[in-house]
Amino acid sequence: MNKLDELSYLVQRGENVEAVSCANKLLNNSCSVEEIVEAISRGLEVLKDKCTIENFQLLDVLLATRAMVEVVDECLAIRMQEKLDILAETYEKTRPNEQRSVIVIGTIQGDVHDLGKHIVATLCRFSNFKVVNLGKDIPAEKFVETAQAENADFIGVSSLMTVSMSNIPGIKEGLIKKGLEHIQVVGGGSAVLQSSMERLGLDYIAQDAFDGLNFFCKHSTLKN
Amino acid sequence: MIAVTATLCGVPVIEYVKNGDIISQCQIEAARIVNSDVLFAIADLCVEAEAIGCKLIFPENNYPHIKTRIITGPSDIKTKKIPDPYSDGRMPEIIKAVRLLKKDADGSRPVVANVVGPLTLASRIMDIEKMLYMIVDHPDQFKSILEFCFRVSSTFAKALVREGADGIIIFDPAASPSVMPEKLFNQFEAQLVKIIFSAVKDINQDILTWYSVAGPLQNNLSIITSVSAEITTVDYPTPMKTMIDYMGYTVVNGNIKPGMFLEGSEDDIYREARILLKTTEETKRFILGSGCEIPLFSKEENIKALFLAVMDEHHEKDNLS
Repeated sequence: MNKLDELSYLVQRGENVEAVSCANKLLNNSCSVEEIVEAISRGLEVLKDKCTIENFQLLDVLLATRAMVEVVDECLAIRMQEKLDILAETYEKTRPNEQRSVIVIGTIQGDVHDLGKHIVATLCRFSNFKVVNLGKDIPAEKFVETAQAENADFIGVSSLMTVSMSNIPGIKEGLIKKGLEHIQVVGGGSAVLQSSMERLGLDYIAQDAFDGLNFFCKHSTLKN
Repeated sequence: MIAVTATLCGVPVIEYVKNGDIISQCQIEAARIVNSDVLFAIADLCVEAEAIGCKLIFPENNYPHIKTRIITGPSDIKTKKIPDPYSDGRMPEIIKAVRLLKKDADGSRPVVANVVGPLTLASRIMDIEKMLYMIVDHPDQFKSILEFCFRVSSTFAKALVREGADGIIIFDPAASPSVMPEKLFNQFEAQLVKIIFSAVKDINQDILTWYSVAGPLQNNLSIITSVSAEITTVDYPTPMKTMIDYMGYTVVNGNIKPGMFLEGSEDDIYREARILLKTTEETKRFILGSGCEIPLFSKEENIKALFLAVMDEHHEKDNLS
């Protein structure tokens, strides 16, 4: 296993301390930032393939994303002076004609579960999206206002509590009122999974964090 | 049925979760409306965290949630005391609900009370992300927090049983296989849950022990047997056939999609219920119910359809025999 493969494996395993150490060694041995980014992204790709609806485990994904974030923060950011934007810069260098898509993400009003949404936000940042994370217990109007202000391409909304689901359709309704129906709304979380796109005014229901990311990537590519 | 009994009775959820008298009244009235078989002396899953010292937010018509978490590390736990079920937070209200329900039901229906599992309590008094990192990075530090949570849950459970609860259900959503691997569940939580059940059995051998863990269980089936509960609630993503084939001696309860009670029709619920009853007809160790709890503001006719399906199933079997 070469050192880049090893870094990829360490991220996939969530071995944060070892991943940082490995990345530093690689950088000291003239490895480029782009190669490091490719390796850590590959680590998460492997994990993505392992995760299914039946097997999805928050802890595994959390540990892998932590390892990625620490490699970026502790190894790459120092060299490029900017933390997560480093990835965008790297990406834009290789794909100059592509603009970054913007995702406004949050947990709907009436629900305070934050963790799954936080993971999706982190994954999306690593996939070159600009992510505006509103937090939890967010009214539908706030999603719409922010999406308009940020010229967003997507809204990601999370709900784990069935009682909060009734607030979700307000997002699409608000978008339509403002003539912003081109902004696609993607829902996720255990409550959303029990409902339907039609009822909630969604363009897609993500089965898990990676499924959501795939949707954003696919539709972002088509847009460009 | 927990606080959905309040919404069925037109009572604001905030009043239900704060008052043992209202819990009792709503449970009795809702049982009369839909003809349910169990009374739950249960408010929400934040009772223990509040009694330890967490500040809560109480929405008018939703369950309360944690505003301020009080544990950032193992040293914080040393300053906390085990809550007294008779004086701290809303614990006395839950005890009052048990007493009132026992008196009013007069043996017609079992009264089941709840505590949260130690791991779930830990995820409420500290940030769940920090908790998960601590489990991996500093397992010994986490064990000291978990030990405290275990003592809280165990003390409360024993008090509820002494006051007359016929059953104890341990809700443990943070122990879900969707959150952590089965190996960690067995390492940290399984034994503690088992000890709580054993402790309440020491007080009353006839007490019903019931475990509810969310998420798909089909690839983590040992969770079902490792805690030695007499009843296990199975969430909707788990195929019931898999559970019936595996379940050992536990009684399985479940697993209609909770969202269907809100968004589906009574026909949908009736059809799903009959399918489940057909799937489980070879065993007597099955209790029809929702995959998780029946949600707040579920339609009355949908809940009634669940019980109608059971009655129709029984009538058909009686006619055949």
